[in-house]
Amino acid sequence: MKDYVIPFVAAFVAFGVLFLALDFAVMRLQGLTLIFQQ
Amino acid sequence: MRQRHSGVAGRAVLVLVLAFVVVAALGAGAGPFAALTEAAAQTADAGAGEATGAAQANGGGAPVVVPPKLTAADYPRIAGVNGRVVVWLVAQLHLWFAAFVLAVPIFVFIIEAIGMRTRDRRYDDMAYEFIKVSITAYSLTAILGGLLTFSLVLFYPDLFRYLSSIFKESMFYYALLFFAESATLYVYYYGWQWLQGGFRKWVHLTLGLLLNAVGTVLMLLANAWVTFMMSPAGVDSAGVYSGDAWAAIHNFLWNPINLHRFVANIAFGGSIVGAYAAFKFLSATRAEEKAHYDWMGYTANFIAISALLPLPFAGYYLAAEIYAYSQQMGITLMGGIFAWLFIIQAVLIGTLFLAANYYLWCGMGRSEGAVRYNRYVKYLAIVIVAAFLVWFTPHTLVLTNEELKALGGPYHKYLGPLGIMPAKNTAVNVMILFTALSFLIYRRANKIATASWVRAGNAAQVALFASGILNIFFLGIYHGYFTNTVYKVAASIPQVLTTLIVIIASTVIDSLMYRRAREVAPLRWGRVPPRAQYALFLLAVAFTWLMGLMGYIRSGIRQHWHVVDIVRDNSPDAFTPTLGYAANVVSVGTILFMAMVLFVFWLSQVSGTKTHAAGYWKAEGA
Repeated sequence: MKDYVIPFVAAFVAFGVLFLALDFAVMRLQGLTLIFQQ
Repeated sequence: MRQRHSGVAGRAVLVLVLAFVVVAALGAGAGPFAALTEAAAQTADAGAGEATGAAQANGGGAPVVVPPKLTAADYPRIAGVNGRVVVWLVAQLHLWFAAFVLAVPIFVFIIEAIGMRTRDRRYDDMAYEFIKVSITAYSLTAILGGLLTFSLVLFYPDLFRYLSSIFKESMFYYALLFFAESATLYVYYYGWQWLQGGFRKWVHLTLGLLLNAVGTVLMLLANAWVTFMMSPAGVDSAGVYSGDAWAAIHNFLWNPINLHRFVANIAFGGSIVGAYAAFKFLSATRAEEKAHYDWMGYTANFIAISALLPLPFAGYYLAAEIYAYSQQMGITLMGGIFAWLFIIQAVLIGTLFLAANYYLWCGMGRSEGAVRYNRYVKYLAIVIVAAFLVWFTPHTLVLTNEELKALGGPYHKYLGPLGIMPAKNTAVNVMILFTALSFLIYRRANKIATASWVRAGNAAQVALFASGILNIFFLGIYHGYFTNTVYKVAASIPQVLTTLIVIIASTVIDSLMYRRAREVAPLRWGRVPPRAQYALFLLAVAFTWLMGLMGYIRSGIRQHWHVVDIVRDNSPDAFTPTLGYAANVVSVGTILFMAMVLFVFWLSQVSGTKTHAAGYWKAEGA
């Protein structure tokens, strides 16, 4: 179980951060923010 | 040693040709087309025509082409023939065949190269069989191209004169390139068995590259004529053309169409050769034949789906550019009369994904090891069907007054929110990811990973898909429903990128994990139910019909203009037909195309059949 859980959590956090960074960068490139601002 | 030298020389030839093609393409902006422009300036003939779209000279002697102002009398009629429907059907048939014959050499080239690399003769034989199918189709493409030109000259002479005055150089070089295309194709096909081994094989592969380069340039030129009618450039606001050929070619929608057609052609070509393999599989009687055509069908399906996965993104880019060029065209496209055709489009795209996945799931029966993964198929099916349902949920419904009252408005309480683009973008990304997952599972079915880190690798892949899908949902739901339109549209880009990252990263992880994998047992090619072959037929028909419908929409958004805002369509047919009528015309076209394709398949069947006419010929020496 440990063989799965630890790599899963580590990869989930790493990929999650990567995707959020991607969202942030792409929205920023379009002159927008990740969280909506009026 | 000699073989090694011939291989090096062959590579050198290929690299030189490739370099030439790249340099020619890069230099196109300043080089050849600048020369075309110059040629236009030199060859323009002041007395070449009247004010109806012909070349004239202005006071300074520079060439100008004036758009025609047409009346109903300017459109010749042939009793009992509707010119518009004739041009519509012939153009569509020409395009289907052209897409097919341009796409097949692309993947034939790749398969041949794989065969050379792996030295596995089966790849070479399969590539040869693919190109064999396209040879007859090539003749039909040329015949239909000729018929289209005649139809345009007959039914739309003034428009054709205007366009051919602007594009005279590119049309002339297009015709010359057709010679180059034919010559290369015939040497490539007929020289296949002759150019085998060592240096000769490299020469053959180089011919394949040349064939693709010429074919692609032909497509780019024809695309320029089509997109000029939608987003004219190189002309002033009155449509007067002063000789800048490159500006007319490099119009606003040229590159979006180029990209979309290039990818779509590969998907379409893959589906048609897949149907050919299915046809041969079903008519095969020997087990070896069935195994061969099963493998061919699988490869064709793989090609079709590999191109289908990025196709929605290319389509989205094209639609966004159409909207950017003209809001009116953009709104007509997806918010106006054509919106309901997009619902049909969504159904067809969903059908393509379902059929392709179904084919893969059936194909898992070829492997003894697939039993380990069969239990996951139902979950894949549930997700893909759910995404499909969201994908084609309409925003507004066609309702009677009573139905409208019962519903409490034009939008359904629960289904209404699923009708807008953020929901559809989310659905299509999920559909693409789960199709990629199907491929991943199919690929694994017959393998046992031996890497020490296989558990960690599997966990990382699950985490990758889970975090990617969560991100797609976050972007789709948060930006789609709790922000404004600008954010909604902007969020679709990271959604696409997330999908691409998940597909690429999972493929890389999987490849590393299964690098030294053991096979469960040899794959049993041919052990696939006949219904899987019908899925391949469904793919081909759905692709064809889809291309016809979307082609009509692309052309139809010009509405009452031959060339948007410049040449008005004043023919009696200058109206947007009802959706039912348009769908019927496209359906008739699809049936005609499929009948012609069956003819091509049948021809390839007869070409390999020999009849021993005992007693017919004189005995030798008699």
